[in-house]
Amino acid sequence: MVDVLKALGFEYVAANPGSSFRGLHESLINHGGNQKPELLTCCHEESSVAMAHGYAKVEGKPMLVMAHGTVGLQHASMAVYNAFADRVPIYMVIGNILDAQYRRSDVEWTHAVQDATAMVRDYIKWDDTPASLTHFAESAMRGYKIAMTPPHGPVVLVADTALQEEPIAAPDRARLRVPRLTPGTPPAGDAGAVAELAKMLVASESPRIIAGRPARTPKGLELLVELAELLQAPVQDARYPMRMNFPSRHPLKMGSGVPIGDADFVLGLEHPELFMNLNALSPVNRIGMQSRPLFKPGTRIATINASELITKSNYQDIGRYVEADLAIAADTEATLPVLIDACRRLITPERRRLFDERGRRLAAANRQAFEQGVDQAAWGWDSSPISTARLSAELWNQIKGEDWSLVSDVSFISNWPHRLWDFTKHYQFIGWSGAYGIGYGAPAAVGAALANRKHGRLSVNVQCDGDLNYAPGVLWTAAHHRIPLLTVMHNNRAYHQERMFINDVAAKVNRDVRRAGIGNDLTDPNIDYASLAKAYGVHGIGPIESPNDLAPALKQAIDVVKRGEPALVDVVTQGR
Amino acid sequence: MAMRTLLLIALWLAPASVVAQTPSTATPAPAGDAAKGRSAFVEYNCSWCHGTEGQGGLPGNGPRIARVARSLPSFIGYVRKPTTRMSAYSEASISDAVLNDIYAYLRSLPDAKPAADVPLLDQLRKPGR
Repeated sequence: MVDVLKALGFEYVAANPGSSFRGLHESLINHGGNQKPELLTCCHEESSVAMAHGYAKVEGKPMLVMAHGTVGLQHASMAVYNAFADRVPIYMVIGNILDAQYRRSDVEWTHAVQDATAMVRDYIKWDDTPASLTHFAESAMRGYKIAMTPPHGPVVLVADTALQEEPIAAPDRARLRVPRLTPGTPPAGDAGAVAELAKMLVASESPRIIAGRPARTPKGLELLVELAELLQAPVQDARYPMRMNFPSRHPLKMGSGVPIGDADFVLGLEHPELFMNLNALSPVNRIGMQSRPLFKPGTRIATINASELITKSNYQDIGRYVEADLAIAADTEATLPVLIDACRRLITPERRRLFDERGRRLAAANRQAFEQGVDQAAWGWDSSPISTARLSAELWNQIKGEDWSLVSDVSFISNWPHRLWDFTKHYQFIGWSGAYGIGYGAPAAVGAALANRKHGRLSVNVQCDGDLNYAPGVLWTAAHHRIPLLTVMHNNRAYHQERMFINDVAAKVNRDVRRAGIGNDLTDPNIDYASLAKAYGVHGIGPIESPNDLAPALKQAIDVVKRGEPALVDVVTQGR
Repeated sequence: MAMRTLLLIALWLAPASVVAQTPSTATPAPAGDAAKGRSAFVEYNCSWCHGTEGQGGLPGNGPRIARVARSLPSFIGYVRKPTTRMSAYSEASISDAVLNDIYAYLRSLPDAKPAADVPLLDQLRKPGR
């Protein structure tokens, strides 16, 4: 089994130990030499999978994850769903004792199951329970291929404990072999549909490209820039930016919240919630259910979305149905080269002239938006709790000269990094969790930082306090494995999103909004994250409550990280 | 890009103060207590979306309301019947008297320093920064 897994080229295997995969665990560290893959000791299975999630978004390939069947997979399940919704490959091997006569104790009976992956099957791409070592070898290759064929997603192999531990009879050993891995090619769009899309794009007077997750790799980012520049079409992220799709200060970059306005053509790329960009929900508050279109009559809509190739039923991460004029079920990155060529052949000198004029107007609007963002950042500059604009500006000042990578989300800090920083490279932003399952942030940051480590990048994690509290043991994993990571707490001392929801409900039913903090606030006592970090072996600084103390604290922490260790700065911040 | 889209972008970025106000015809209410208003602004959760100094959050989700330019009746009227994603607050949730204090607090807030006077922000405008 280890020989097969090594053939897949895993650098690391993340695991919280479990008896059902003890055979594989021991083989990895002894027969496998604990190298390629190296075992990462995790304190929670959710952390194991989320670390693999963050790692894959930087490295472009999966990390191996091992987990105990039943209770281990139960712990991991939210993280598996996050990865599925985020279209990220996770390669998971779980243990299980299928044969009743092999179960030696009450624990092993309670931790055994007939169908080990049933509980996650709704949100993985594929699973198998091999009955022999040859079966295991072939399924291992097939699983990797499936995980890595877009749309990416998690796969799970069940390694029966007896299969792991029973000795191989000598005559059988000669028959065992490691099959060759044959990667699948990404599905590109139908030629006719792509040609039609090119016509729509070139003919449009006011196109808008809205990007969910089209840039799977650095090549995807280059291609999207090439398409946008060819057409002089603006590109905006989804409301909650999901990937590093487009350079943040490019003249054609548009803010993620800019309404559709009078766009006459909208192209959604790998966007699971395009409906929300195209429609407003009303009445006027977050609890409203009615919708009205935000686009003008006659606006044409097209989509390229590989997720349409694996749509499942139970979990609703597919988003609301979009009435598109053209829906291409294909991988955007694989489709873009053909689309760009098709557009190029259609562009006449007259259209080129119109595009250039459009580009000049967009560049001017982009510059104005940037200037207004800078002006807006000055409001609340000296406030305590510290404004997220101040936090982001101070952080940028410290990291801008480094080869940095933001391994966390931006939406909880009002997108300030996207509004102020200069994002240009694919690894500089990895988006959020996919399924908005809180608890993803800290371990994903550690996993992404691990991928960045060999490239010498400075990994920066703006860490929500609520998120860290789910499984803070990942801080120990970072310390133990010497993963350099700068964690800056966005410590608003609450589950802020839910606090706002309770406030909304209380307002709607004319009750006391002042009680919205009950069940949401993380105060009394205030959690001391610097001490928490130190307890786990991470350099901890803070709490920082005055904005003037930010710069020296961040600098001190960065010095630690540049020595190859994790550091955490606890910053007490505004709500958003 | 058509003018309408440019205008929408400008409005999306603009502070609440540029939105049209309802002129007041009623007898002016007594001036509110800005100190009480500061506490109420937090206590009634306004600061969670708008920031403790009304500086605003993500565009479209808690705009800047520091130095609010609306008249008091217009301000109260908007809190009772907002036209955006904000929840409507009845008198049962927050009284006119409390809103009066909050209004006084918001009006008492100083203007932000120009970004040109904040070195960390000013340098962002320079090429390569």
